[in-house]
Amino acid sequence: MLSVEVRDLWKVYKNKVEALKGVTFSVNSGEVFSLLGPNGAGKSTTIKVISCVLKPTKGTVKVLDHDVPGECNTVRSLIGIVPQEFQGFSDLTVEENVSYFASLYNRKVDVEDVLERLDLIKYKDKKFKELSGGYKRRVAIACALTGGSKVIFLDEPTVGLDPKSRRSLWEIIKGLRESGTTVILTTHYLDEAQTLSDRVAIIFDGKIVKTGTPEDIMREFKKESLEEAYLALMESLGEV
Amino acid sequence: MMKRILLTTKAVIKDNLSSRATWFFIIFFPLFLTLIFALGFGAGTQVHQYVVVNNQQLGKYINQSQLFTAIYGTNEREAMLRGYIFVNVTNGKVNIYYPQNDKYLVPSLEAIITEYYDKSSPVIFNEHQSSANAYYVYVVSGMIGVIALSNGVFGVTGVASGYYRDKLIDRLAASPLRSYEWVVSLVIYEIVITLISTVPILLLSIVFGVIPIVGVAFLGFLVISTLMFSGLGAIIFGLTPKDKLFVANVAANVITIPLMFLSTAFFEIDAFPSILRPLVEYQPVSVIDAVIRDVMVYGQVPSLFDVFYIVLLTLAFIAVGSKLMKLRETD
Repeated sequence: MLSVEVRDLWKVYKNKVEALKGVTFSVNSGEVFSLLGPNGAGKSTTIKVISCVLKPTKGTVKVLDHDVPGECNTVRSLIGIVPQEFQGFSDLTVEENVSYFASLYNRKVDVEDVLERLDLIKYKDKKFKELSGGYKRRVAIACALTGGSKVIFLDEPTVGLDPKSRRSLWEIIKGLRESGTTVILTTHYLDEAQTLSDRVAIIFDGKIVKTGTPEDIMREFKKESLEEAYLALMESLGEV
Repeated sequence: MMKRILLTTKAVIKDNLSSRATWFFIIFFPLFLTLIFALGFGAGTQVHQYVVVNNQQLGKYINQSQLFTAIYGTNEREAMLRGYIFVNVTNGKVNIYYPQNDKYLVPSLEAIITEYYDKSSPVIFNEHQSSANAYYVYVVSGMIGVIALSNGVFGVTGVASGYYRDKLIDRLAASPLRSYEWVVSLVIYEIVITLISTVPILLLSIVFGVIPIVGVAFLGFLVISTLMFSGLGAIIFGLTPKDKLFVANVAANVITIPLMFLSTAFFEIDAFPSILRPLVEYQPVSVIDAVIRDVMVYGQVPSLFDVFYIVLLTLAFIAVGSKLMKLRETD
């Protein structure tokens, strides 16, 4: 079953910039799918369209079989998102932040359970601004989990984190996959994409230029790592 | 719907009121500004006594005496609020309205006026004494409009810019929170901080010896004023390119400071150059202050024109602001 289906998606901004030029891909339920690409390639725009923040100019987008933008109210109640560098309400505690986001959805959420899953119980009374970068990211994921938790978008979740916090977030993402959550990830860290992703899509200049499992892509470019394969692909596209 | 609005308002209030900087701006800044104007420009510190006269020739003659500074004006109420002496000449009768503390100046003023008029036909003087500390009341009531302005504009642009930078708005945009619920929550927050800011100013008024009339009309106009300027703040934020958020704060300053000082909040209309007077008199802060003075100081019904003007501007600002400040494109 597909969680997300994107067909010939175009996004042209008001200033005539063509951010997406016919993007097509699909994400299966329960898989970790990574969108990779250089800065400005269209990763964040794609996520914003799928999560009903931006309106598509042309094309078809379906999330859990609901049409975007036609059924956005339903879509928004089923998805969770962790924006890049999300800061939360800085003077609210961890529990208050998570409870607030939980309250936006029309369903009962066990906040304690979410905090437990992300190892945040001992920090629940701490103000968001007093947390380390790694724990702030955990709170962001907890806030996303209070949504639907059927599909979660993580926009560069490990940027700026130390290696230990990064590894710890990887475990959380793996845990999400095990619990059946579909995870759509954007990242610049190719080792992260290789470790976590079931499949990846490489986006370049508003178009998907490669889709497949990390292993398939490495095999195609005869490289030992996804990073090397990615660089070879970029070189072939004239991006040095 | 209401639940999401109330929870968002609660979160925004708690988040912002935990910051000392917010308390400084909503409590100490208005108090500081009021004290500066009330004490710094108040009647108690005047070296020259100002006299507002409704006759230009007489005004020039009084100025020659170098005992008084005469300015032309016809508004007795404004002159009293400023702590000036007001001279109203009608049909050979001269009515002199003066602040309590300036009683000793009245004989000198009467002598100058008598000298100006033909000595053969004696002038009839009527003296009217006003209550003390009138200028303080002028500044206090004027400050109410300034509070609505600064909290409304800076509140919305400041809070929204901060939340945009922290990606909170990105997160809210992808949640079921509707755009209007977000805007209403922000506006309720602005109303709450305006009410908080107003309390010390009203207490200051009591310290100055004047009991403000705080009724439904006062609270109603205070809320409408905050709505109006929150709408203006939303327009500024909505028009700001989101990759240049600092522009929102610069624009808020560029708009707010002239609205604050080129208004009748601290200075009466006659204190401005004649070329600026129409602009000063009909800009929103002056109109709001006129209405607030009517209901808070005089306990009378404000002019219908002023009320209509405020309501119309509020509806326009809120309508445009809400449209520009929506959380997401898909709404």
